[in-house]
Order: sequence, then C-alpha cells, then structure tokens
Amino acid sequence: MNAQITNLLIMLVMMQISRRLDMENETTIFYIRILYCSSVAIAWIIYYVTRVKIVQKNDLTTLKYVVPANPMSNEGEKLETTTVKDYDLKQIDSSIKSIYSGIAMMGFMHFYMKYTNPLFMQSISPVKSALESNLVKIHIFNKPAVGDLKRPFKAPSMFGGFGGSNDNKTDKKTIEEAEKAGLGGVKAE
Amino acid sequence: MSAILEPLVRVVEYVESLNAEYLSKSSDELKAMTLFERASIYDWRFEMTCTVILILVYLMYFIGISTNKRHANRLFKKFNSYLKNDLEFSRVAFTDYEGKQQEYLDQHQYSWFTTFATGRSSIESITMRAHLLPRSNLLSIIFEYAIAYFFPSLAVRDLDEFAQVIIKPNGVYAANADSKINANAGEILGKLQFITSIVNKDVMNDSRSNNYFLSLTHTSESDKLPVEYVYMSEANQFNGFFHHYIKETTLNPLLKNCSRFLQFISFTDLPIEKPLTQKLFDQNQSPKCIIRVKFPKSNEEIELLQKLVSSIVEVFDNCTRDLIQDSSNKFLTNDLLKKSVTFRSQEIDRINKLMKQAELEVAKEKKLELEKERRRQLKESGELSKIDQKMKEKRERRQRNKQRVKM
Repeated sequence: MNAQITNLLIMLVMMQISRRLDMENETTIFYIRILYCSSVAIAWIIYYVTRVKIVQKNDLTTLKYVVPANPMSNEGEKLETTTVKDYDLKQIDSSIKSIYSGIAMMGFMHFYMKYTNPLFMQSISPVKSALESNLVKIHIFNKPAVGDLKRPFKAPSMFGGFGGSNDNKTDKKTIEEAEKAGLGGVKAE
Repeated sequence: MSAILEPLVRVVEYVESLNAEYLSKSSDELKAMTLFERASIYDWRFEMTCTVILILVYLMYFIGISTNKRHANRLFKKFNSYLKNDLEFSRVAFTDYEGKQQEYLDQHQYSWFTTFATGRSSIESITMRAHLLPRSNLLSIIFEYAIAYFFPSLAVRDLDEFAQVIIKPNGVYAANADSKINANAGEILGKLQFITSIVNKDVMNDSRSNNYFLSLTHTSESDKLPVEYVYMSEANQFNGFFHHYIKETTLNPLLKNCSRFLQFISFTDLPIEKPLTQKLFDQNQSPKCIIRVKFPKSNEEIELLQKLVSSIVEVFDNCTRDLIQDSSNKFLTNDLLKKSVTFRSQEIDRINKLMKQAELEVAKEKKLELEKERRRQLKESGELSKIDQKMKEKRERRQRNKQRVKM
C-alpha cells in the first residue's frame, strides 16, 4: 500500500485513540513520552546501523545524475557526480538530521507550548519512515537496488505526479550536456 | 524579547548579589576602611572568572598558532629541501630583507601559507599554497562547522585543510647544464593546452563545482586506475596522457597509497575561476598541473606528496623533450591538439553568447528604466494627460469610422 495512504490511516487511528486518552494525566503523559522516545531511538538505531553497513560496503561505483532546476530559486539544472557510497551516506545523514529536527519541533510543542497530542501522534511515524526508507530496504533487508530502489531514488510526489515530475534525470544526453556546461568555479559574490 | 533578556537580567542580578555586602556599605563606611579591608570584603569571583576566561582565550590562541606553525614548518621545510636538493630547483622559498631564509609566507593568523620555487629545465615555477584551520580562533571554527552542518549552502568554501601545488611548465628542455636551449618555448607551451585529470571519487562533485576547468570535463571510470579514482578529461583520448609518461607500475601504487589524502591531479590550461569574458579567458589561459591534497601532516604523507610532484615534473620533462624533438613517441598528436583547439573555440563562443545575452538584458532593463522616467516626467509636466486624451480621441475616431463602414 502507498506509504502516504498508510500514514493517513495511522494518523486517523491515532486521532481516535488520542481522543480516548486523558492528556492531562501525569501518568499518561509519562507513558506517551516513553513511547515517543522509544520510537525515535529505534528509528535512530535503524538509520545508524544502515549507515555503518553503507560504510562497510564502501561501494565506489560512480553515479551521475542531473538535479532538475529549482523553480523557487534561480538555480538551474545541476550535475551531481558522486559514488553509490557517498549518495547513500548523504541520504541517510539527511534522514538522521530529520530525526533531530523532529525532536526539536516536538520538544518545542511539548515543553514550551505544553501540547502532548502531537507527541502521541508522532510516536509511530519515525519507525515507520525508517522501515520504509529505500536505503534500509537495500542495506538491512538486502533487497536489490532495482525498480523503485534504483539510485538516484525518485522523490515521493505529494499529489500523485500532478504538477510535473521533479525526478533526477539520468539519460545519457542530459548528463553529457551537463558535464560540459562549465558551471564550476563561479566566484562567490 | 523578554524571554531572551530574562536569563541575561538574571545573570546580572546574580553578579550584583555576589557583592551585596560591599554595595550595602555607604561611601563613608568604605572611606573609613583601609585598602586591604575593602579588598577583603569585596567578592572577587566575577573578576576571577573573567580573568580565567581571558587566560583560556589566550592559551587557545597560543596553542592554535603553535600547532599551525608546527604543521607548516614540517611540511614546508621538507618540501623546500626536496625541491632544492632532489629536483634541483635553483631558487626555492624566500629571503627576507635581512637575507634570512624564509620557508614560507603566512597570512591570516598562520592559516594560509605559500612557498615558491623556480629555475629548472622544463619548469617555470612550482607554487604550493596550503590552508589550515584558524586554530587560534576556536569559536569561529565551531560556528562555521555548525553553519556548514545545518545550512550547507552558507558554508565557507575553504573550510577544509588542504595543500595545492601548481606546477607551470616553461617549454624549455635542457638535458644538462651545457645543452643548447630551444628557442620555440612559446610554440611548445601552445601545445600543452588540454585538460586531463585523475580525481579521487570522494571529491568528484566538490572538485567540479570549485574548479572551472574540471566542470568542462567528462567523467569516466577505468580499469587502468585504482578503484578510488576516475578520469576527468575534456575528451576520453586524453585519459592516456598520465600512463603514457608514467609507468602503470609506478603510478598506480603511488595513487593507491595517496588515496586517503590526494584529491586530484590535473593537467589544464584553463583557470580555476570561471572567466566571464573572452578577455579573461585568454588572460588566464596558461598550461599547468595542479595537485590538490588534504594538508599532509605525517612524514609519510609528505613523502608521498614529494613523489607525486616528482612524477609530474618528470612528465613535463619527457613531454617537453618529445615535443621539442618531435618524437614519434609523443602523446600530443596533431589530431588531439586540433580537438583541444576546437573545444576551446566552442567554449569561447559560449562565453561570448552568454555575455551578449547578459548585455541585452541590461540594455532591456535600461530601456525600461528610461521609459519609466520619461512617463514620470510627462506626468509631472501634465503632458501625459494630453497624450492620453489624444489617444482616446484617436480610438473613438477609429471606432466611428469602423461603424460607418459597416453601415
């Protein structure tokens, strides 16, 4: 099933459960905190084990792709020349970073704004995202890197592909053009 | 705002509370005391803390500077000695106004270093520029790393520690001190216009985005190279240049040993910074070889760097000799040179095209500005309403004429 649909279903179920919980009760809050922290810790461990496996495999196969232009900024298409190892490390590090930013956000919501509900709602998704991560599938579950797991990974679309594709380009012609574009060495203003 | 200032106010209150007893005494009471009595009832903890912090800052500065000096001394002394004694350069490093030998020039609190050597067959000069972290200012290093971690696009470009050796050929070959020097040095240098590089896979992307000449190249893996490296050349035919002049049995083990600190070796005639005009392109075009490594800190790494430099000097020796003698063994054939000339003219065309586009855009903007200014002046003088009225009348007249034709 599509990850976004399952996220939505989990959210609905959690909402129903949270309505039945007394969020003012200290004991309930304590158990919700334990649930959230365990979930984050499990996700972090999964990502970290994946990271260790990536470093151990040390796959130095060259990977070339063109990142499409960003309509929000003035940046045009950009060639990325990297190795499978570096690509995987970059992806896994951004996942680990997203855990930290999630903790910061939840810390602000829970300790400063005194909301407990978001803490409960976010207690499943970190583990779920970790298990659904392409890199975890490849390195922990040993799935072959083909189809949806082929690098560079396709960016998940919010609206089922409407509004144009935002995927990296890997066709030979685009890469050759980008390689000779001479965009490097631009002096910083 | 109060949330930010509150902790600060609390600190100030705490500091004041330390001397509550001293401050509670009137000035007459304080005057009546001796200097020692006044000093003994005063709580010096705040001042002591400030002094300790100042001493720590100075110690950090001192240790930082000493560490950088130690690393630089080790590298530059060995490297200069190698250039002087093994590669036989006649002038190495600098002499100050007192005639004292200086191994390097330093800048920015011992974080940037430069040395220079010249006076040798085939080589015009060797320049080594090295960068070390500004250890004298630990806070700035922590701050810059934090910014680079959370906002990579704002990261400072030269955050890492590196050494970059630029070897420039001179197109003159002399087998020994009595040899006759060739007069066609310019012609020889003109034939050394191509880009071919061996780049460590760890830094492919960064090297391409920081160096204009590498961003014009095609990246290709090869069985001839250790798995840690790729070729980046303007055409695949140039990939063989390295192995043509350095034996595979010498080059590959050397590259393998250097893989943890060597970033790239590149033969190029194009600049590091992107030229925006044809004039800049022509001005900065000069053949050279660039060796970029992470700052070598151990004796083993320094020795490996020396071997790399020695290999490149040997390449220039052999290549210059082949070109002067027009040897049948020469790598740079006329076909290859034609390709590189075509490549450069295409690149110049592209730069000119971009320049023209930029000029057109500027002209367009200027025209729009002028039009705006004209309309503003007309509005101020009342002419604009007259013109608008005339236009309106014209439109009405046309409308009427159209209706008449229809009837």
